[in-house]
Amino acid sequence: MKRSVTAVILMLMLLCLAACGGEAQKNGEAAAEPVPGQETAQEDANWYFMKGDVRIEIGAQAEPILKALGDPQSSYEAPSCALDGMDVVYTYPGFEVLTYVMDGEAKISGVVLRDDTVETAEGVCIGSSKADVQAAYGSIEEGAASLRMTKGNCELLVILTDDAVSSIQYLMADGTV
Amino acid sequence: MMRMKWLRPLLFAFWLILTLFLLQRLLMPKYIHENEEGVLAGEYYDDAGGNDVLFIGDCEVYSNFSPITLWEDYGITSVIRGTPQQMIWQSYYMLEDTLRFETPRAVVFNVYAMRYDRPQNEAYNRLALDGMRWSKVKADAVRASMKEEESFASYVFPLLRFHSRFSELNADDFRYMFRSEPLSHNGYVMRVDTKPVTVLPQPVPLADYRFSETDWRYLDMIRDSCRAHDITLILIKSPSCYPHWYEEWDSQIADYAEENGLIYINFLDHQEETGIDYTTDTFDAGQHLNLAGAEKASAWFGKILAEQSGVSDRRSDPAMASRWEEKIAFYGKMKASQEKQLEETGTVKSFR
Repeated sequence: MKRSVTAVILMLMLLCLAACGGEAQKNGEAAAEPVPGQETAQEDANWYFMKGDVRIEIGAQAEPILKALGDPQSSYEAPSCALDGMDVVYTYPGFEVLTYVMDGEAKISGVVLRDDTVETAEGVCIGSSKADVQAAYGSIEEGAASLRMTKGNCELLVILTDDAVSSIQYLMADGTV
Repeated sequence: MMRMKWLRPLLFAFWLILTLFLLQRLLMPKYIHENEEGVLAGEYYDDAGGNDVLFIGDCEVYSNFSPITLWEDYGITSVIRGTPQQMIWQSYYMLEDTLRFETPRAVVFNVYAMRYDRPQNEAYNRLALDGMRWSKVKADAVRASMKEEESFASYVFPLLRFHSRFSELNADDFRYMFRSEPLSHNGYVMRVDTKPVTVLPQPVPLADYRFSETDWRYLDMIRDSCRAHDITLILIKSPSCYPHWYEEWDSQIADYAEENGLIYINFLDHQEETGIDYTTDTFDAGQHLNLAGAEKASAWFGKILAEQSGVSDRRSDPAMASRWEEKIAFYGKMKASQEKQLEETGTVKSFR
């Protein structure tokens, strides 16, 4: 009888472990999955870059965005040191899109604006003045050469050189690179 | 009768612990056919002892230097304790852990890790830490490495972390519950295939090129530990085209080396002398060297080690020579296996 009780206890433990794992996975998937149809509701939740009609947002599924952007000028695949999947840098005229693989799916991990042929959704581009940046994003600390603003899972980094914008980057907000 | 009453709970506790132990062994990733570099941290203990040179750092050390070449060309005994995206605090603790087993004459630290000021990825922490043997050093390494969402308990009892693998178990999990397949050659991970550099992304400007206080503190700790053990510390920037190594970073390391009387070698400044050709000597378009590249880098660096770090040629030691003969045989076998795969399929699908 006691043996049976012990066996049952152990079976329950195993089931708990398995179930717990399944639950954890589900939670992970739920957090990673984009929510179709909520694009409008999320419009202000994250910083995003628009190229024509294509909205590029950190953490978004890369495939539909890359398809909509068309063929890049070049791409550079950087295999993850050990983990599965490739980090890829896609170069388009005026900007680059960076992707990484999470749970077998490519996602956007960064956007770097390279010249003044493209601009942020707020109208700032490479070469914009400090005043333009302040008008779009608010005041910049005296003496600061960059402005970092986090919205949702995206950090928008604007770097100034001699009071003009020299780099604009959309990055992952948790500081991972 | 009374004795039996005590015995039963004890037996139950023993059985429970044994069951949990077996479950843990079963559920932990085996790193045999995927994420193979996960075995590196644990493989060191098979190679521990008698190593005159220790390499610490990320994939730029375990892919780019061949201890076999150092032995064959110079009689230098060396071991690499590299793990994917190894953080500088992990490099420090790898050094401290190594000092529990042996005291090398020289430590070579790849400074690329200085770019990270905080833990980046739990998966990489696991690859660096789960294979380390338990000691106070490992406990400190875990505390230094954990991201906010991680728990110390999950490193003590990895079952807490990996129980969700229950539904993913495969034949490897049963076959390698109590053993592994060797992957590295004293920490070197071999790749014989070639993917040339054709294009490189432009470097992305940074808002601040200064390394963090945390990085400097750990670099000081590595320096101090080496000094305390009379070890020559050599800083290197390993040969790699991507990710970009900024001049602003390079000058900070050069200044630190000068202030502290250390050797600093940026391999990117010595491409001609090393003979590394990024159209033939890399397997992933310039991020890591393939076997040909690693042997070139090692052949060139071995001369510096021999001349400037006080390591001696140990090929006349019969016991050591015999030990390294075995390593050379394994090296040759893996090289042949990979070349065969490359010839038959055009790619290297398996390291072994």
